[in-house]
Amino acid sequence: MIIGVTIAISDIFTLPEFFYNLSPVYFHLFMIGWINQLIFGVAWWLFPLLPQKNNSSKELYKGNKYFAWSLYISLNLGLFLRAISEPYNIINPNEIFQFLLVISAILQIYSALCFVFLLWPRVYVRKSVK
Amino acid sequence: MTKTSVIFIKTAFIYFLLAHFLGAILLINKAFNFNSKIWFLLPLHINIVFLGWFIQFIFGVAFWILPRYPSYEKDKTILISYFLINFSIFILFLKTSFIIIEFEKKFTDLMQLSSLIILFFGIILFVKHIRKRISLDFLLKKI
Repeated sequence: MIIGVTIAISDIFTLPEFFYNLSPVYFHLFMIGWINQLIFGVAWWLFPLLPQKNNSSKELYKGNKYFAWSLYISLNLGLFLRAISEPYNIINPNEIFQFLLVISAILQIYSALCFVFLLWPRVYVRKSVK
Repeated sequence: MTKTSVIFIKTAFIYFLLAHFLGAILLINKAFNFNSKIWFLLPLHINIVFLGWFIQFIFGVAFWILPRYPSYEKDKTILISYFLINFSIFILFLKTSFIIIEFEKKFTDLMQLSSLIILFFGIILFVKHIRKRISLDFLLKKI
């Protein structure tokens, strides 16, 4: 929201060049940082649980917590790197920002793969639901 | 979870991955400027996020979680809705590939329009089904 307001202000007042290249960052912070992350959180909480792999107990579980945390970290780190490097790469393209953009893309791909890997097995037909 | 919800949500997951791959290609192209034609993928990336991921995920969860009536799963309109939505996305894929090979613009515009019309009917069918499950009469009967 702050970036959205800044973009609106940049139409009225003269701001540093960085602020004129924030539209894609604003859009992705909104769609991935808020909406997608909200979906991740709610789906992780709401979707049917999985039986334990070793069948030793009848307890159900949500999935691998380490993967879930790595998803959270990679998604937010990827977004952060993008938010920093994307506007600067437009203003002053150089190898550092190009490298950061590639790292950001890889981190976001990793977070998407983690999300699907974690939630795919939890999307199944439960016989009791009729 | 019901079978229909599983179909919707798993399809949404596939589109979610696809949208991320397209996004990564666009982002890397932004850094290195490999080919300006890659920018033609941007509308497809946006459409996949909204139609393929968000709409289908929301439809899948809504079908699973909203109040149910007996035999609600047998309502065929939902599956028709699923096919229409995915067919409209398929047309958008074709449209993008035609744009990349620089096909006639009128034809690609027509594809865009037909895709939107098909999508509209897909959403109408879903709403037609869900409306029954959130109508006040139905909810009061449940209580």
